[in-house]
Amino acid sequence: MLTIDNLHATVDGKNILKGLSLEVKPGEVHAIMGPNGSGKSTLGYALSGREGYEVTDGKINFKGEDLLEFETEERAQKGLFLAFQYPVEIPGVSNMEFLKTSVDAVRSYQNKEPLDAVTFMKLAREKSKEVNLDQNFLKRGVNEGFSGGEKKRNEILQMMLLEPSLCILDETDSGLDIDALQTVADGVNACRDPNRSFIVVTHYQRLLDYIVPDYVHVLSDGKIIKTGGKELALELEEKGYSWINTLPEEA
Amino acid sequence: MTVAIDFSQRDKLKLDDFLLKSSAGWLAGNQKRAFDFFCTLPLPHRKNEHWKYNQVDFLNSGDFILCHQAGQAEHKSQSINFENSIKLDFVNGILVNQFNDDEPALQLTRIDKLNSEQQALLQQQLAQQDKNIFAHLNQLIANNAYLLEVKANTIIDKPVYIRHISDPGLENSEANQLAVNALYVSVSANSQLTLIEQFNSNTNDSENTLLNLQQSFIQLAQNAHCKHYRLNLEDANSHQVSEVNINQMKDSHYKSFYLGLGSKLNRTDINLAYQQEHASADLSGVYLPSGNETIDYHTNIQHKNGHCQTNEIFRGIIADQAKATFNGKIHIFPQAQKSDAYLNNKNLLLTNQAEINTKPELEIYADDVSCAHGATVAQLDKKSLYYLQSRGIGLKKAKTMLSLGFINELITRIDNEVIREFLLSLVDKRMSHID
Ligand SMILES: Nc1ncnc2c1ncn2[C@@H]1O[C@H](COP(=O)(O)OP(=O)(O)O)[C@@H](O)[C@H]1O
Ligand SMILES: [Mg+2]
Repeated sequence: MLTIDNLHATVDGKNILKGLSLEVKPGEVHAIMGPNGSGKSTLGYALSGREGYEVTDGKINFKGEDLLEFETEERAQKGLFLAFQYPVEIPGVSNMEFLKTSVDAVRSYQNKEPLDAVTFMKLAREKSKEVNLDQNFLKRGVNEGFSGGEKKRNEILQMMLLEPSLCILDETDSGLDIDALQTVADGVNACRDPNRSFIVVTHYQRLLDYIVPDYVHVLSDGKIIKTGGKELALELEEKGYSWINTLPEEA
Repeated sequence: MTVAIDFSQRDKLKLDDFLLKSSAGWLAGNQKRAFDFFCTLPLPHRKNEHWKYNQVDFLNSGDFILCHQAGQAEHKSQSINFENSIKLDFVNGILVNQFNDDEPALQLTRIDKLNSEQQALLQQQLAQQDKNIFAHLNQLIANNAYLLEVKANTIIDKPVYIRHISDPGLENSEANQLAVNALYVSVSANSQLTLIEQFNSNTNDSENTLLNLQQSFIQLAQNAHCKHYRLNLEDANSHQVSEVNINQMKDSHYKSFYLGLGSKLNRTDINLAYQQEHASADLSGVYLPSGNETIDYHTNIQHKNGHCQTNEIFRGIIADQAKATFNGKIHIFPQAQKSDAYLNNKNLLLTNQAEINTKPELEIYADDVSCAHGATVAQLDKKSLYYLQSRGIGLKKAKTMLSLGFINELITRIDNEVIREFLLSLVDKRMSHID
């Protein structure tokens, strides 16, 4: 699915990712944990091709292609999805129109006809129910006036509608109460599929009780410094990240 | 006979050439006054603050022939598909269709046929106008001036749909042409009117300049309501200098939407005055110039009496090398206590070459008032663009969506569904051309 090899990335000329390698196979769930400022969001942006996040070295292979060749929208069309830590508000653009345009764009890449408006509306309503987002949120501007939790649920709704093959969730659990967390996790679990992979960025072991990872990685200063199974998350929660820093770096 | 006007040689003009055969004394008097002012006032110049951002050099390009043929212009552009409307078509300023007056409460009368009551109505509106040289010229050339009256206590259900078409190719002339038109609207007490004024032009293939000088006057009597849509849909090559003058009496309400797509010169002055207390106005507008077009709105709202309320919102999206000007003035007179005025102008520049000159002006001479104004200039938000792209939406489409989003709010507020859908499809089409 995804192979990242020795990735170096800079933001504003500052080195943020400093030789990150990661392999994600179809169907796997990888959790990435790590202190604030270690580069977790930067990794997501670099994968999605955000302007200003410059890859200076290393390779990213996504489903057999060199991901770095493609524009942001092409990466999305090829099945890469990033759920943002801080989704932007876009007043004036209706959420429904936004969702339909993006689904149609991805379908068009797959040589599929755009969905007719009624079919799409039904689908969007059905999915928004699954993430516990009232239908009224479909009519509002994209994320306009949404609470933190509603924005995150809207991200999951987009993921469900776009049916991507790689989902990167950047702190989707931050700021959620326990019910919202459950809803988001249920949404993610409903999307789990042998051909779909997840990279879940989180600070909290809590989320990983619901979305059980195959691997847990610790990102620190732009590199993955430790990888383990789901029990690593528990250990981190107990001992903190400083415990890792005292360990010898893995080869 | 053909009348030609050379703006730089106005001393050669003769009043007799302009007087209507049927001119009654009062009208001839108006024309004489207008003639004197027109011949003596200086031409607009870019050194003059009021014309600073307009290309008016073309006024020095020799003769302008006054359009006098009611040609049947081929109307290429879209029209609003009202199920039922009262249509008036003007070509080069000249009325070309019959006024279907199956609506007894609505009356259209040419200026030389006005009875004394109607004359008073018209003179009252003219007296309030702060006239510049184009206003004088407009009055001098009176043959395309009409009074549209709504009788008291009537709701006119059907919209009055006025289409103006400029077509310099109609008159086989090598010279520049001048189309002049004036409409005096009077809505009597407790009546309601929906008025649409749409401007189109077929000037793109023409070598001649056709200067369209159009002036509309709207008088709202006590508790009269008017919804006014003024849509400038001319092509890139056309020239228009126009005015809308609104006078409001007690409890009247003026609600408007202005759309300007831009052209070589597109200047609209909106002058509104509250002549009595407790009147209100809701002005909104959107301008979308692109290419080398310019567009210019000057609004001047005069709170001459207390307890009146103004809500004014204009938004502009300026593409390519286009230039826009928005000058929004609100003047609160000393006696206008309890005035409530809000003015907001937001602009989106799509390129580094696009230009906006925005100037909100508040002049407040009363102390117990509530006023707010603001103007912003911004570019498309990079974060929002990225968000849309990250969902598979191409850059061009993303720009179109965000641009539409910037003005959508003003269009979706329009309660007439037919007009709203027409405008949405129009701006949608316009915005999909931007890069
Ligand atoms: N747009 C930016 N401009 C400058 N520095 C940035 C920018 N984005 C992130 N950084 C810096 O990059 C580092 C990593 O940030 P980030 O990837 O957001 O970390 P994390 O998500 O792990 O908390 C931080 O030091 C942050 O200050
Ligand atoms: Mg982060």
